Amino acid sequence: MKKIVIRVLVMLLVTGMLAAQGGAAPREIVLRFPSWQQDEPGVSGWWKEQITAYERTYQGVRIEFTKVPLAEHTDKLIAQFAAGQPPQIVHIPAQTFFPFADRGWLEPLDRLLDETDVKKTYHALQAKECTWKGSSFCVLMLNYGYAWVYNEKLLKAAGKSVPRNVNEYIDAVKTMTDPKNGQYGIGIVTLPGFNMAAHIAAFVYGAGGRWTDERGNPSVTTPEVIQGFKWWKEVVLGATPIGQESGRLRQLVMEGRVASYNDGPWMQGFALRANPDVRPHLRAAPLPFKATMGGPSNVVAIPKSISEDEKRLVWDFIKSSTVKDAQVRYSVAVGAPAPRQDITIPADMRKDLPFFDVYVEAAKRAVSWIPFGLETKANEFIRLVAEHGQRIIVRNEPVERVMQDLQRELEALKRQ
Amino acid sequence: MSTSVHARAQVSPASAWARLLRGPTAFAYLLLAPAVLTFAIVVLYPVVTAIDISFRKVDIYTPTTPRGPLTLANYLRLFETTGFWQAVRVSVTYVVLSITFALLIGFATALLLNSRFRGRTLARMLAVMPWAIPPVVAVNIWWWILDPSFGMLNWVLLQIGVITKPVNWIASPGPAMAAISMVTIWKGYPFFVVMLLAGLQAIPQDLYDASAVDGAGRVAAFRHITLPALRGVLSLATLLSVLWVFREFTIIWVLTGGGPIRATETLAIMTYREAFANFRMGFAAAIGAVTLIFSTIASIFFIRQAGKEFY
Repeated sequence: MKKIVIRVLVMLLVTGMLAAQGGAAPREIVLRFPSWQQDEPGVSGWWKEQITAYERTYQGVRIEFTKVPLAEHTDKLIAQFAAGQPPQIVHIPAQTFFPFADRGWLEPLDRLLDETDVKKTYHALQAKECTWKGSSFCVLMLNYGYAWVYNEKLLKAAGKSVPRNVNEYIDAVKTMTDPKNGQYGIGIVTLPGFNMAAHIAAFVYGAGGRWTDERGNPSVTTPEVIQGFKWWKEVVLGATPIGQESGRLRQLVMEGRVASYNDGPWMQGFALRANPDVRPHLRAAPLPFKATMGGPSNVVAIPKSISEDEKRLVWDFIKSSTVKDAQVRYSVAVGAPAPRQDITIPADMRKDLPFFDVYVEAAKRAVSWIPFGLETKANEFIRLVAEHGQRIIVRNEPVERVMQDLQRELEALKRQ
Repeated sequence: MSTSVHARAQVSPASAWARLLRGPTAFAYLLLAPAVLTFAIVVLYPVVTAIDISFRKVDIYTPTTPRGPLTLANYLRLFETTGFWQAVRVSVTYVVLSITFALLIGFATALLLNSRFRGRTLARMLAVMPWAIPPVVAVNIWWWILDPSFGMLNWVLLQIGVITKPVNWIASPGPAMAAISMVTIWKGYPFFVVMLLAGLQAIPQDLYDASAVDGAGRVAAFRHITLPALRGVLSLATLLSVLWVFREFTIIWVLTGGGPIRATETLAIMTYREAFANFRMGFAAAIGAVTLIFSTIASIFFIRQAGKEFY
């Protein structure tokens, strides 16, 4: 018996010594960077270039760039922050940034931003959308506006031209629809989540509606919001394949089975990867609505709970993305204006970006769809909008009645 | 004798520990310790913490979160919320549908695979294959089958005239419940096959021979020998399946996300949504605690059934 116990103890001791010896080797610092953009055409290449350049400069530091689908991203980040294990590089959709700032999970960046020219050179949304309770907590990566990406060949085959108003738009997408042949006029996300709410917002904001009024109170029973939901309903029931999420819909556009799609500038990257017989026919046009939905797209931030050394390393990485050269390349990669305003994109770099000018204009016209007054409850807000949208299309309930219910629920959410 | 008893009674606690450590069971305790410790950290600590925060107002729980006062508010709110009772209804419907069909299909398949025929080994392998496929992969395969606009199932049903227009399997409440149940049945029936096949093979052939001598037909033999002999296996397999299906998350989350309009929002999905989307971890923990009670009741019922001996 004694012998066995002694043998076990000796084994443990040897294992411990070996582990200690291994620990003496130079330690690699890993900065975790989960993002939905890890494999997104265009922008993922830019991130990888930034990472390679950074790792070359900072020997012994590795950035672990991993894919997390957008639909799960915010929930996963919340779980990681709650567990005290956030990734060092925090990449967040701008819509869901505020809950993180409000909970004190992010490092204030004012002092670090003062080391750069970001405050002077960036789009006004940097100051507006990255500030919470008087402090800056993030760096804006992209501001955007939605545009209508369409298949010109299918539009012409339907005998239609680029719509100049919303009636022509609805007519065009419905005319291009032929479900028996697996052909649809437009892709609208109808599975609950961030993208479904964004697609609804394109119509609601397009009709001149806003989720909340200037005092931050819910305002979804206004005639404009109701009109937006009615347009959305007509398009969904008359021209879109039901029950699809954004990735699948983009794929269907690239295959020519869906004739058009409302999306931000990142759609350009997908369009460039479309089937060879579809790619030459893809075009972009402004959405023929009163206003264009958009605003800040995504931001980067630093967790408050990581070590000071790691904060410095992460900041150096973020800072490297704000310089002129990186911003020019970023603009080309996403096919849209970068947040930095003092850069120009050389003509030779723009020649392969057919939608660039449309998205520059869309970004200028864009109205942010972040629900002012409910910013810190973005997740639940998005769920409520999507859920009530489903009532309209699944149960065919009157828009006015559903909006009254949504108004009540949003008011209750604000009171919580 | 009395001196000896007196001496034993006066053994100090320290020497009792020393004797225990020197005794023949010391090494057994040493070997068990890592498992017990792991169980305490991985299972016991989270359960105790969850029950604790279910009685407190907690939005996002972290180990350093200051504890608020004890309250019943989460439970009171739970029983007042229509969403909770809706989730209970959805959970029960989902469990009953999935388990009933998985059991029937699994039982039929096990009976078939228990008989002798050419290619039986291959058939056994194919029958249990869905069990080996990871849930996310399985759901994605089903996604393509159930796609309302381009899916194979709608195409087949339209071709043979069962439906006249495509069924919206994912975005309509009734079909969405059918869809998640279908995937769960497909994923879960092989477990019944494996368990029941093992049970069938353990039934002595003598019992069937004796019943044949007594003039019993196949139906009578099935009713009076097969079914009673499988009672224990059946109860155990059903219990485990009920518990798995009751806390199923991946299939529902990936396929429908709990929608449309909460039509497939089970207690497991509601717990996740309240904790990680709505940041109400105290409330979510209360849902979890109630789910634990339901699971315990189901376990007691099936364990009692499993305990009844046939032989």
